Amino acid sequence: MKNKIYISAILVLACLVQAGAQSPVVAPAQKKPVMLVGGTIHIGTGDVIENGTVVFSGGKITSVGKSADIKIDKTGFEVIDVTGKQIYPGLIFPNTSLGLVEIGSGVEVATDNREIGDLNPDVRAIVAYNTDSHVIPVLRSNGILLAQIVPTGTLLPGTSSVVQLDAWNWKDAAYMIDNGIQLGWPRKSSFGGRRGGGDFSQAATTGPTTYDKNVEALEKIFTDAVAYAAVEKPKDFNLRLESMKGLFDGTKILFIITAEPKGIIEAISFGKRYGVKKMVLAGADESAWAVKDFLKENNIPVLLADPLSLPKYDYSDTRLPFKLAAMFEKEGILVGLTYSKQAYGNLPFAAGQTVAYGLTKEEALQTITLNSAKILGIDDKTGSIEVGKDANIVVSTGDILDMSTNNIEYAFITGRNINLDNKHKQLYRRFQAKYDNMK
Amino acid sequence: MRKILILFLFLLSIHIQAQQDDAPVVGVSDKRVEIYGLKNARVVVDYQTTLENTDILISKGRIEAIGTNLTFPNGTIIYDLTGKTVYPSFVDAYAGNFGIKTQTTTTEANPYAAFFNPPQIGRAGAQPATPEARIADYWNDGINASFDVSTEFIPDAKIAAEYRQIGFGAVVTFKADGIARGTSALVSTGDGKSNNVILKNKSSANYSITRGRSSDLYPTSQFGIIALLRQVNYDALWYKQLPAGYFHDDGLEAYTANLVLPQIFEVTNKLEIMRADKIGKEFGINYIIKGGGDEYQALNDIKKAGNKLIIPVSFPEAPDVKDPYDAASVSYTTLKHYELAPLNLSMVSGAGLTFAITSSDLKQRSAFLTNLRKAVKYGLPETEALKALTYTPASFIGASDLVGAVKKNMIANLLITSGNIFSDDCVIYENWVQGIPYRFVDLRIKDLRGTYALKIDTAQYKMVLSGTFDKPTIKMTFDSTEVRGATFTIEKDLVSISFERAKQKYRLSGYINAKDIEGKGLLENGKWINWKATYSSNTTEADNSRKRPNLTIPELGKVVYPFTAYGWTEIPKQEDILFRNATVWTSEKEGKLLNTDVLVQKEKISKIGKNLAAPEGVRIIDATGKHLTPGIIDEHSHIAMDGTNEMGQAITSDVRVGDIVDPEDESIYRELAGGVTLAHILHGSANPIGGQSILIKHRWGHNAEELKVENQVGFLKHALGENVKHTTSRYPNTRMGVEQIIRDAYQRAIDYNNHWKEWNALRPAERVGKVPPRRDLKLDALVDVLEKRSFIECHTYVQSEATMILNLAKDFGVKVNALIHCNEGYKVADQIAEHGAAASVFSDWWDYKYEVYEGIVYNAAILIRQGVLVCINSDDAEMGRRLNQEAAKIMKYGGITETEALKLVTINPAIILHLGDRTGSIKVGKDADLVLWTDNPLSIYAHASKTMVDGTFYFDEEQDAKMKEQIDTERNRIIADILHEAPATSTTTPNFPKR
Repeated sequence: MKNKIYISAILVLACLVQAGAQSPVVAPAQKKPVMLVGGTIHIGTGDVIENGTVVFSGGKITSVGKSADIKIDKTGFEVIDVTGKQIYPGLIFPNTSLGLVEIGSGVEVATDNREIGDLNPDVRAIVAYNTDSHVIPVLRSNGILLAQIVPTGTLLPGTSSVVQLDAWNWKDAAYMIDNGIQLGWPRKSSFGGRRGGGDFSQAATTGPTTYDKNVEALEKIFTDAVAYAAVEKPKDFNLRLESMKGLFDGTKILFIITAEPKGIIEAISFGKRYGVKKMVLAGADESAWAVKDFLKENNIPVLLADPLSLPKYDYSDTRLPFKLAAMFEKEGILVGLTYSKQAYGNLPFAAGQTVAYGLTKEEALQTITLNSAKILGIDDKTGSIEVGKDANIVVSTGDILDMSTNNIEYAFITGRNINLDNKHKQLYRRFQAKYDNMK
Repeated sequence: MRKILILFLFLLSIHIQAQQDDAPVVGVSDKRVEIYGLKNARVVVDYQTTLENTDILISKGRIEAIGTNLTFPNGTIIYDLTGKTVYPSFVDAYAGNFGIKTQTTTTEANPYAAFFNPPQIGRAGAQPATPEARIADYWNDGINASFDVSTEFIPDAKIAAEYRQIGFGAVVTFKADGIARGTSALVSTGDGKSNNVILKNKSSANYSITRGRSSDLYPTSQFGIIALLRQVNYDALWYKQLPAGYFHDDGLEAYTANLVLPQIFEVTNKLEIMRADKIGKEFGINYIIKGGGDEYQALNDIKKAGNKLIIPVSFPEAPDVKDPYDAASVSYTTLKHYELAPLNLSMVSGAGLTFAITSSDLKQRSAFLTNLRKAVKYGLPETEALKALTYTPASFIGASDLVGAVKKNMIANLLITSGNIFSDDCVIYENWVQGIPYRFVDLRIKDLRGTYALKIDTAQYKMVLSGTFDKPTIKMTFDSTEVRGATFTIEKDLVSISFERAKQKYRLSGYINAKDIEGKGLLENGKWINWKATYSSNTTEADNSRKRPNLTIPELGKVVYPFTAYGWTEIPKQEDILFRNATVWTSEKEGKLLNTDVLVQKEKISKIGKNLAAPEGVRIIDATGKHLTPGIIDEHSHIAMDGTNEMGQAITSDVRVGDIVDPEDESIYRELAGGVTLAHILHGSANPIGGQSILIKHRWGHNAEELKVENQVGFLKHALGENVKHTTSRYPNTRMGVEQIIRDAYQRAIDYNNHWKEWNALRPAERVGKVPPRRDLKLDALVDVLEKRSFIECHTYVQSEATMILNLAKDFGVKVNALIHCNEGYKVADQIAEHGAAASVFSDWWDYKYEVYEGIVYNAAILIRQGVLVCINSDDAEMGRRLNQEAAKIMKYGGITETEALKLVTINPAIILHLGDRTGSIKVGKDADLVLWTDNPLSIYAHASKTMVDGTFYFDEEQDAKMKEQIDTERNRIIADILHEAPATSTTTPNFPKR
């Protein structure tokens, strides 16, 4: 029964899209105002409105409230009955290589997230973002509508941008261009295996010499960048230093990636020393917890690397990675979540996982919506279902955070009704047809 | 260091000519008849007997006589050893590479370097060339049984001197490289030509569990090494039966010949002791095992195995914990072992094991005595220590008639000491090796330590001499005030003192006169004065504040099983349990039962029903509002194994995961916290035919053998596609080659099996003069598959290869048991169903490499609907603890029901693993492998509250929290001990002088 309903839903979709593995047609701009009526609205601020209505027009949210309280003439509206369904802000996936890396490994030419060299603050993820990646529609189908795409590497791998996940090209996709610069703080040590039983020899320990050299290189480029920023029209234009200007005037966020307690303190102190206005600890794990007071004092938000990971040390709490989000939240530290495997739409479940370990469902939702929007500097536009914000909204049949109930029926990006087809569904139909034909 | 060298050169010049030699005299001969008489010593004859006032007569390097009031012949050089103690010099049964010129770089020891940068790329598909092919020897360079150490041994004077300094008179040298290392030799630590110092050649045959600097790629892993050892043993047996003139192999010949020698096997930790013992016993060999110093962590198992042991005293250095943030990266295991390692010998001895002590593995050989004495302080009885340094190592190599005791006719290897060698202030004056004295401290030096009344000119001082007797330190007080900067030096009978008081520099020189010291001093103005130090008492307590405090043994933690965080001090026991009023997910046709009781008795599920009566003695667990499910089964896992792949060859079907199960992998415990009770541990996917896998139950705390599921069938890993072909240095490099190499292997297995059948049909008389088939363990494993004792588990991604392996199996009359990953299974689900193979898949993994670019999340659902038996696996220690959630995803991706979803990780994998009648569901009579969840197990909000394996709770949330607290307390305690103890004791220098 349930299966049949599902299959018929898919068949309906099949009529809308051409067969064959390709990304679906990008939704056109919102023409008609839309009214989602009767759903449970999870605002993203922690508040929930039962039996609510969301109205959006021209891509912006215009009303939110109890259905009974929203008295609008429905003429000219597209009214969608979402009674019994759950309405959420579009989920935000920070710190990912989405659209830069098409295939995880083994296909070097399909990889565009790591430039040669260590000091590339100027290289921009946005210009390499492939809107036709087959991964994007897969994530969208699970409610992820925005992503921060980042270059990766050591020291200064480049500049990130926030993209919305339904676009013809990167210019359309750009949601906030060049929002931050990534800083991969050098590591002092690397961990060995348990008993040397592994198949591959451990990477050589980065000795203090390399560490010092790397820090020196960072100090030099930041010193030069500060000096460069002080000159209004430099005679010798420098792309690298130019790209760093935003760090000192608050238009770019420094995303610090390090997983050593001392590295965190050093990197943040470093940023402060050079007058970096906004900093975020990205890729945080249990080592960040060790320096929580320092993070709090300096008002540094954290992006947890991956709640679905193993504890770091043998003595760590068996389920510590599941608990960290709640621990930071209770400390009053702004916490967002990310998920390390970019091709799987598991971000909502990573958040769901924290619920059994201390967060409320609404708090867990915030870690992948409003908190992340704040951390990425886009909370004025998105992250919650509030009047005036972009209509980035998903409707799920059931609880979006639980895989057994997550089923995205609608997704809107700036009011555009997004096609939720994807490669998996296409291949599913193709081969289901094979078996149907065999009957 | 340089001083040692000078000392050595000095000694060499005296003694070298005294050696026996068959070489002609060059120049004027300087042969001296050296007969020594040692008088009035306290002689520790052997570890059991000590004689007082005893004389020893030494001649021609041997002990000629020992007894009281011996008559020494004329010309005997007499040593009066009144007050001194004589010990037999120590014997080290494990002096790897002593006098062997080898050992270049360590990078060569890394097979992966060769693997990923093949020395000779050549044509695609070419086998990597072996750089130095040996002549008429075993094909694998790691098997070096024909090596005879006497052909390369040249005494290393510097190392020999180091051995002598720490008390050794004879050591067993061998080439510490490779798996089969050839034969060793017992050599003295004296100086001289090889001929003179080799006491017993071929004293043992040596082996190890590490590959060394072999020029062969294979084996790259420990289970590969064990597989090779097993094969060598069969090859040796085969070789013995060969008719003359058929085949010659130096290696196999030597391997067989060496079997009559003591068999010494080196491992690096206690788990490997069990592994070495197991492979030895398969061939009736009782290895003497050189361990890693962590035997105390698995004492019961080692005791059961019963091997003789050679144990180092190389205690781990104190980890750096000064910075609290840095200290975070110091593991619990490291801290525990740091604390307990000095207890090792005491515990080994207490367990009644036969063991020798070796100085091997020390960072600095000079730390030997310090560490040895530390072990004694930690409870190793002195007689046991002495036995382990003399009799036992000598007896291991059948040389107890030569060395290890001060007895008539034995080699004159002995130590002259100031007293009990196990006490900190004991000084070794001389180490006699083959009758030749090597001096460290002048026997004439007097012990001046004590308190003196010192009168200088007219002033009265108090002088305290303390520290070591040959280099005492001085403390002077004048008028109860300490005189700073005083120095004291002693040179045989002469003494110098200098100090400053009241702006006057004093320089005193004097001589020892009985117990007192007296002499003259010179003042700044050139005036000579008299001084005298009159001995008043032997107390030196005034100096205690400056002395290194005596080692006090801190309060020690308990040994935990396994030896890692979350290990138990007491392994949990089976309990009879009644789960009351649970929602019971049976994974049977009954589906989900509400408000139901489940009774567990004697490791089994004994009753299921409502309001069950609780038999006496049963513990009742109120499961109201909770959910009880079968234990989760991970059909594809790589936890709890030391190593994952044997990459050295394309076909490694002889490799067995069961050989290298690692019961200490914390993943076991972490998976229990995710409700997992059983896992299939497979070889990796680097080979078209990989190794034999093993099924384990998560009996956390038990040893490797106890983890294994009883009476399991065999599974053989096969792998196709990218992982197999991406290594350009090895055939195959395409899916075309993959098919051929597997087909060829099975074809060979058929032929091989036929050869054996023919051979076995021959009557003994008919076999004479015929070449018997060679037992080939790789092909044996394939015959097992062909004869359905073992089953194919095949890693596949794309549909072409899935179809290929199904067809190939069919051609050979067998079924593929399960296609693993099978990400494109949805494309050929009909074929898989028709073949009858199961599919062990991921829920939603795709896109992580090219061959899974068309992997889809609906794969499982399609396969299920086409009638394929499907399970969801993890292949990953992290995901392994959330398999219930992975199963729940198939509700989302394909719309199966919740009870069907749970089956994907319970009964389905049980059936796939041929355990469907024993576990995987809640059914009367089945193993009590159960999980109690806080919520619907398919909801992301559920977590395992308790996990039971065979009726024993190995995970319990409350207990987990308590253990975490204990772990933190323990870490803090040990770290505090380290901080208080600084400077670290492991770096202390020995208390005899370095000159």
